[in-house]
Amino acid sequence: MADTGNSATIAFGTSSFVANIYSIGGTSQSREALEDSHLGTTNQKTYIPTDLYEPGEFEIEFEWDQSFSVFPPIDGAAETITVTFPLKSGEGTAATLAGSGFITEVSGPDVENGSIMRGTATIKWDGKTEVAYTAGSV
Amino acid sequence: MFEFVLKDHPHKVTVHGQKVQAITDVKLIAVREEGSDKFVQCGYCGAKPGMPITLIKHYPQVFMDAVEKFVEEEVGSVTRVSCPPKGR
Repeated sequence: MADTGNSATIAFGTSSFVANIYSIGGTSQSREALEDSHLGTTNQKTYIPTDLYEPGEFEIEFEWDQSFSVFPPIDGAAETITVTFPLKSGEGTAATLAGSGFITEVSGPDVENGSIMRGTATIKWDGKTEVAYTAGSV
Repeated sequence: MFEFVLKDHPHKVTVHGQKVQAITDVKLIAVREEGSDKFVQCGYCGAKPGMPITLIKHYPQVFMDAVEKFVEEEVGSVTRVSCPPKGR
């Protein structure tokens, strides 16, 4: 059944950075295609997938709080990161996207009248603990 | 008032056909509130002492104190307890 992202969260296992999150971007994963066309190939080029795939990265947008005691850990070590999806009715454990990763970029807020201060951070999955989606359970 | 349990992190991987725990440094915390018969996920904590508790939504201080006490008894020292700020 269709659902919105309302109540989804992100948890940093070691740094424990928390904020009101406006959005958690989707993770884009990719792998190279190796061309294996040869002199006997006809019409179209042919490809095979390479051995490894890129675990990807994603971006979060969060409310910048002047009373942060923990800022987005741009200098932190890789840590376990868990994106927790909204808990569906009847579930005791929500679906998660989790793995190990680290922040590669943080942008502070634009400070101006009539606008909520928002920051952004880019998180790179490091592949050391494979990022994977786990469905929610009862 | 609150009853807590620790569970393994839900992230598992398949190794040689067997599901094994992929994340071992973080545990999931679930809570059963008074009058409920079900434990529901409320956050994460370290699997060893000296790690933080991160709750997945805003909870009152009495709840945060209770979960900290539980994790300290089950795991050991907690560096901090945090949850998202209360919404506007």
